[in-house]
Amino acid sequence: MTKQIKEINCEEAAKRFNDFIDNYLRGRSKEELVHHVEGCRHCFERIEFEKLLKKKISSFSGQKIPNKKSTVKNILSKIYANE
Amino acid sequence: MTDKREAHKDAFAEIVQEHFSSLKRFAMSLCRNEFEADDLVSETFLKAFQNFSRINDESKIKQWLFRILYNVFISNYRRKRKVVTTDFAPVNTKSDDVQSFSLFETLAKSDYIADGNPERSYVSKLTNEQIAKAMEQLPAEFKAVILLNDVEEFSYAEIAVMLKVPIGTVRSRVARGRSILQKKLWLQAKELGIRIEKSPKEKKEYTCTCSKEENDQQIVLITS
Repeated sequence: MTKQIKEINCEEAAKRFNDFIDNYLRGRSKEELVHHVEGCRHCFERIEFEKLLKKKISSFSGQKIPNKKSTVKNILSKIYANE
Repeated sequence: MTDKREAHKDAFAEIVQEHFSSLKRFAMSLCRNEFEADDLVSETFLKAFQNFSRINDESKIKQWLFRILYNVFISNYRRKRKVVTTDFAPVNTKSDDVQSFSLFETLAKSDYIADGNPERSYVSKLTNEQIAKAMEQLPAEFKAVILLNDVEEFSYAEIAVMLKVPIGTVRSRVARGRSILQKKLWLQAKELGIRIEKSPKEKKEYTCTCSKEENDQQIVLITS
């Protein structure tokens, strides 16, 4: 027997985007979103956009850490001095 | 000094080298002050070194270091000084414009001129400097979870343990943090000289069947 998947609208779908791209969406909630996205180009595009943006942020190296070498050296000196 | 002791110190020095930048970034998100951040990282490594021999599971070293850093921050920099920084004071981010802002929707409702997919084109052109600037403007409670989740790739559960908040709080902070970040990126894009002109033609159309709030702003973006 084919399982009936509940129809959700874009507003409801959007509430699940973060959980979906972080891979926390499970079960029926995920099935409903995937079903919606299969028929909604707008939400499909938005999810792709959110995934791309997350990927871009994940590769973000942040502000450059100045004087890393000397700071690390100072930290290790402090630690070993306390021994 | 014994060879064993030397090996122990060398192993720890490698850990400091490996995790210093990540911890410093996280410390900066908490302190927003270079000197305090350096002290915080330094104290974190000192405490870590004192307990280093007790570590059995090396795969959890990163999580362990972040947890120590956060605990040190809480005990030293908040309670000791009895300072609740504005960063951790309740932030008014519940207004509709921040809570529900979507960069995609804003771009989609505009006529961003680009080859291929305009929204993807926008993201691919984002520089690290632009992201860094937007991150810098995030309130610390949101910046911390975005850094821990998206950059350092900790799970919601790990972040919840680290920050001592429920998982639901982590989840909502991630959502709100992303929304604020996207708004900052959008404002920044406009500041950076992207020209906005009225031009209703070539507006994108989607096959969405849902009712949506109408956006009055019809804009066309042309990268200069």
